[in-house]
Amino acid sequence: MNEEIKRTSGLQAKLEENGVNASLDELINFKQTVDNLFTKDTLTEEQRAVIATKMEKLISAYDKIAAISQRKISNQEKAARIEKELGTVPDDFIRQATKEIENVDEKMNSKIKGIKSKVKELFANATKSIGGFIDSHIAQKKEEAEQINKQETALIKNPEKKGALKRLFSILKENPADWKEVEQEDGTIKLINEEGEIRGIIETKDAPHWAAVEQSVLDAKRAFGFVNKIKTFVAQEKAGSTIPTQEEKAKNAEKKAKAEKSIGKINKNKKEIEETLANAEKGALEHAEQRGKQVKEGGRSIETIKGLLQSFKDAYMNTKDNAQIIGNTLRIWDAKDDSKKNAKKLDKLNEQKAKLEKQIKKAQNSKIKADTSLKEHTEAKAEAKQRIASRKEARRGADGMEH
Amino acid sequence: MENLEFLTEEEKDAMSVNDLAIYLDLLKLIKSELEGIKEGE
Repeated sequence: MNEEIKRTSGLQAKLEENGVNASLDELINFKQTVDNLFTKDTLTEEQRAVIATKMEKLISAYDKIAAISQRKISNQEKAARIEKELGTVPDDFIRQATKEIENVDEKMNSKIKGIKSKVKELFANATKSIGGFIDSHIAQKKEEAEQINKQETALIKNPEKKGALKRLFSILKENPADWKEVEQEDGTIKLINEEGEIRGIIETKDAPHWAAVEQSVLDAKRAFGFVNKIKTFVAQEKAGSTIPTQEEKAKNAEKKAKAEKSIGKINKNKKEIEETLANAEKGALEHAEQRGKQVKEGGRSIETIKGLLQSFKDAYMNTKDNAQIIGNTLRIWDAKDDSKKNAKKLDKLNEQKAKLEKQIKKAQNSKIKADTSLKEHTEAKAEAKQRIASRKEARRGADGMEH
Repeated sequence: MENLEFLTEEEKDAMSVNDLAIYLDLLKLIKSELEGIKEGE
């Protein structure tokens, strides 16, 4: 598996989006994935507890049967004691157990078949998902390349930006037999004959209005009789195609090669991934087959079974612990919801606060205006008083003089 | 002793293959012990 693709592509997320409930590592290190399928159950806590009790009773029955079997009494006596202990005659129990063994055996076969189907489904989904992802990755690369082309064309269409004028000048210069000299100045190309007369002017200043250029070229044709190359050039420019320079050609070729290399690399990776997955699927199915045989062969001792039953009961405890953890998590989520509600409240309060602040500022401005106005009024009043006092003083002075 | 009970279809369907194998082994052990006694009769 290409580690870089795995790391950078978000492939795992894509797998999950497409319902592949195993990580890539799990698929490739398939043994653990398959083993997990053998331990997967859909038991409820209650079912687990009931099954554990039934199994414990069966173990206890086995212990009693084994103990009776060890006793130095006749087999008939053993059978009688067992009948007393089991509440059923051994023959009946053997018949029932045989039937149950057959039933469990069939059930296990069906479950193992189901596991193989699950493995196939898992790999089919992963392969489809990865294939789809890589195809879209390639399409994206192609689109990127297409975008570069479009951008280049857009640039080339504008001769001022991409040197079309320069190229036109080169074409004219390459044909000295038709005109002695070519001058380029301020977006104008002048075609000069042997007598030094200007016989044609190609206005390219207002490019990309190629109609004007074409007209100039036609005028030039009348003067020199050779403009096919230029006409082709103008037609191509007008059609949006281009005559790239050698440098541009090289750059484009480089870009194209790079894109092709990149697409090739992705395709190679795709092939590698598909091969890896196909091999892993083959291995997973083989492992499921072997594991199934191994599980069905059984042959566990009663002590092993007792130990395994304890693990079965512990799984029940784990389920309880997990339920506790999930309960706590849900409470945390609820708390998060509360905090969301609180955040909304806070937003509203902040809005109200902003409104109040605006009102306070408005009131403050009004107060400042009022204060200024009052100050001005007081000053004016003081000035008026001063003027009246001065006038009175002057009048008193005048009266004094008269007396 | 209380009557022995086998697992129900529903219980077996919900069990893992590995757990079913334990049950199967247990049944085989009991059957084998009982058959041993029967053969010796």
